[in-house]
Amino acid sequence: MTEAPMPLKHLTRWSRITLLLTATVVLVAMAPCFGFINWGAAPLCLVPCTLGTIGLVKRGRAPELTHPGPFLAALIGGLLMLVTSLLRLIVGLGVM
Amino acid sequence: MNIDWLAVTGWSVIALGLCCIPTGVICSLLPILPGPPISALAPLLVAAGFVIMGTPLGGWMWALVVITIGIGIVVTVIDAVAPLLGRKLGRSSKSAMVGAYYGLGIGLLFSMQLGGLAGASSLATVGLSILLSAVLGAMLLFLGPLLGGFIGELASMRVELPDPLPPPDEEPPAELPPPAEDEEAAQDEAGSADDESTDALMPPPPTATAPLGRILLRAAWAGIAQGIGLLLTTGAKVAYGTFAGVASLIVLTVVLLANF
Repeated sequence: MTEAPMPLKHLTRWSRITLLLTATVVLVAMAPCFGFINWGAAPLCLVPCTLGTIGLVKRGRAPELTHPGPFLAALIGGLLMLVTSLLRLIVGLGVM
Repeated sequence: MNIDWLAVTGWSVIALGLCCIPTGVICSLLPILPGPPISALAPLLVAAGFVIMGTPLGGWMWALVVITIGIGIVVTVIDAVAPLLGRKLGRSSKSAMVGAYYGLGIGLLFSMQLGGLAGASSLATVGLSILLSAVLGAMLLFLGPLLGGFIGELASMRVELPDPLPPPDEEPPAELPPPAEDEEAAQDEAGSADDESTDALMPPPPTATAPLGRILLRAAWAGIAQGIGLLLTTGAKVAYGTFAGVASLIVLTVVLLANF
């Protein structure tokens, strides 16, 4: 076997994609007067967290063929952005 | 009604130069956009406006303009070289750079919002809130690029699969490279290869089966190198934008006081 199993390849790819998408949404939501976007950005941050966790757990099937980096990035990045998004929601009083 | 077209043109050029001050600072914060060249245009356009109107500028003012443009050229070169240097030192990927930019953007925008804490607080706690906002804002601004670079580097890691074997019907190359003539030459070759491999400070990226601690350490190193490079570059660009703005205003004020 020279390639990772297909579900793990998809998980790696989607971890990266959702991480980038979430980072873009959080970046926009940090702008002044756009704080209300964080109501959507905060739940969105859970998607890369979930994918990263699933990837790290499922990776045990082929540890030498799947790099844990993207899953760790999705998990840590998602959690950091979730905290940032919630703090920004508080600072902007949920509206601004 | 007579219109002094030279004065109109001159003041328009000066106004354009003054518009370059905030534009240069804003462009310094964003990637790709050329902040320092726009900032360097500000004193040049202010001086050009007075030249068009036929107002003498004086040697000191010309010296200030030339020095500002010279520093602008140096900052532009640093802006081009520093990210490459950061990438080489930390052996970081392009994703780390993208992540560092995201982190800088998020940290910068969030730190701007923290001023709202001070505004929303009561009179008794306003001092504490301003202090808290300043400390938190500085922390976010500093940590954003580092964390962004770290996450970007982690996300870019992938398994390096070996090259596939050539098909069996393919013939081997006709001429093999000649062997080294003696042992010394072979040792020299090996030595130069070792020098190249130890050129960077860090070993190559860890494999997929490496311990998590090693993977995280490698990504942290790359992220810190990329983030600090970006912070220094952005700081230098913003500082230069401010300096060029002050220089433009000095030229404007001194010439106006002396001649009008």
